[in-house]
Amino acid sequence: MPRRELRYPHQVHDWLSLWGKFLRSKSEEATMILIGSAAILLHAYKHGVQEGFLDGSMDVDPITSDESLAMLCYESQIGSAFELKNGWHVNLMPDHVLLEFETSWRERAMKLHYEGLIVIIPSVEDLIKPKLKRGEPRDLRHRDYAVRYRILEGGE
Amino acid sequence: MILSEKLRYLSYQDHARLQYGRLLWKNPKMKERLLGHWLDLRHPYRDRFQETYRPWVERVLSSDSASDEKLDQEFMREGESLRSIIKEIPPVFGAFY
Repeated sequence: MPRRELRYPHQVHDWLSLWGKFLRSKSEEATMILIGSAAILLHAYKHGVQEGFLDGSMDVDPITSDESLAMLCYESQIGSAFELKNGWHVNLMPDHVLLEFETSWRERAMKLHYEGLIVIIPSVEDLIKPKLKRGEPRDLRHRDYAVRYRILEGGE
Repeated sequence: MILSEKLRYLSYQDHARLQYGRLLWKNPKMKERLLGHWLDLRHPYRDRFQETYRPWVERVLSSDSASDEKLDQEFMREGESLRSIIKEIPPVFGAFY
């Protein structure tokens, strides 16, 4: 059974910091688009929010076209030593998933730099929209989290 | 049915195994590592991959998306399809990757 221990904003930040340092140590540079609940947590981190989700996530959902980053992600999949250590795993997503977002999402995205790693996260509004379409209880809880901690502009 | 319609109903995981399989296949060390993993006795799809689908899967991973239509036509003549071979790209199990 996959573990579901990704809950706090700092966990996402710490993970990206580590990978950014690692890539820099190898003189590599890579770009990741991060979506899903991990991206919402990263927005929360940037807003100084320390509180986590009520229920944990089992994975992060990155997308990349960089070989070095894809290799790291493959090392961190379900059942890996990474999951054993962290309590969650990496679930590489295909470019295809970005079709769920409005075509203009990049205009509103945030770009973050972690040494050898550039992370692009859609805006909270863009992240929430596909979740609201699905309407599953967990997705609605993520929306509620974004509203409660004021990381969703203008609330709802 | 056009190819994009056929591939439309693949899962995100199917699409990911294709996209990242192709990306990593270009690196000879990663290619060997993936093959080693899929042929590992612990891999639940080892026999299926080795006995039947390995040549087709290798053809898909060695090609790029620009060749997809041509590949699909070739596979159809051989009794398969690009969609069915994408689904045969084995997953990676982190426990022994």
